[in-house]
Amino acid sequence: MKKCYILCRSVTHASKGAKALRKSGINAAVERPPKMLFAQPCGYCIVVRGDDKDDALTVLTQLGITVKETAEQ
Amino acid sequence: MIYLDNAATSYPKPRAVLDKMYYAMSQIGASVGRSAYKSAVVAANEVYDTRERAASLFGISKAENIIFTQNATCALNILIKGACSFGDHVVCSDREHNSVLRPLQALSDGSVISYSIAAVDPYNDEKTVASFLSALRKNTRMVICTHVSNVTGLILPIKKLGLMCRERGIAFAVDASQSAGLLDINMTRDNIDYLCCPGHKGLYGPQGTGILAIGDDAPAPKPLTFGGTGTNSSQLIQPDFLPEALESGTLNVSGIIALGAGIDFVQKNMAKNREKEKILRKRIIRALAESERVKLFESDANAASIVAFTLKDEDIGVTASRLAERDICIRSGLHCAPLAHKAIGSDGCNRISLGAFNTRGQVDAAVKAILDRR
Repeated sequence: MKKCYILCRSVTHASKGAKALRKSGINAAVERPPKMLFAQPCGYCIVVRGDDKDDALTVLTQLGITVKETAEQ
Repeated sequence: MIYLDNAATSYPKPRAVLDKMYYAMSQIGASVGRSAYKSAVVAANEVYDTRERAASLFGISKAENIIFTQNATCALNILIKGACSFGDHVVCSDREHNSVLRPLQALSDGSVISYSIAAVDPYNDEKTVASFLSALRKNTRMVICTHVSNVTGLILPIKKLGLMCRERGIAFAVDASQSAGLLDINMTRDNIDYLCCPGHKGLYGPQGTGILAIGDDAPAPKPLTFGGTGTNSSQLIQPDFLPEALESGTLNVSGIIALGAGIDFVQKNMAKNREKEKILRKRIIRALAESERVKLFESDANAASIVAFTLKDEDIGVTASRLAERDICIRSGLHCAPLAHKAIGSDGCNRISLGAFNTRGQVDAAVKAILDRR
């Protein structure tokens, strides 16, 4: 199953986003960005199922959370 | 022990705060924003939860605008030194704590800013507002006002001052050190751009916690401390987004998590606590006022849970020591608020400051001890 990694600005924003996604019924976890997907080793991603990517990004945008980058694996 | 020094720090703490502190230190342990193993993510989520609680308590929608500091003094320093620029003018009241006055004085001594002090009329809010108005200048950048005097408990008209500032495009900052958790404060409703408070007084959290709350639309102060934030580490530039811009270094994770439990406690009990403290304050004042030996300060003004007094025939330090021998805890002196004492005509006094867990029996025993000549 594909996962979507949504790179946030900080752990605070990742926590905020993940909490909001879970409230909207989207399974979300906070993880470090995989080195093979993102250039920077320091940072925090919200991880959702690949199928949930669009809905997740909608929720995060509505919440005002800046998404730095996304990647799927 | 009869603890009547809640204006210094609240004691005891609710059981839930102690439990949360123990839980955080024994079950979590990790830092926030450094790693992503299970306990680190739990720590991050719990800290975020406390941010949300604080944002809700103070009426702002952005939890990331809650900045955790080590105390209110730290929050005030970040605000004053980070929000004021060269040539700015600031107005504050004559009831401010040194945590407001000393940063202002330091910036003034360095010719960075100028500041004016507005006299407070304890019995006429309109006169107080007029005093602030007359102190404003074209270059007034900010008005800072304590919500409740830490010397007498006097409640200042922050809603009226907030409106005055909003109408003139001036930033309004409130030192809520003695009011957070006790009085209803809504930053959005009350036109407050910045609010500073300790976590360890009216919010019943542990020492080593404090909050700088930034209004949803208020610009963030510039950082005073630069360093590790666990984000953008490849960059030598401090992050420019909240809260990380203003939170360098390791957070007091267990303290913040426990503070969340304290905020829950005050949210559930605010009205009840306020009513109880009002009743106990009146009881103390009524009893002390019966003695000709007692001088009370602003006891008949609109005030929160503090009683300031002296005994005419006893040095304030001797009074406090005599009570301490009986394990009754009050504070004597200038309470880090020299201008407030000058305003009330005092060169030092004793201060009783109530908390949520004080009882009628305790205040009666304290009054008896105060008036006891032995």
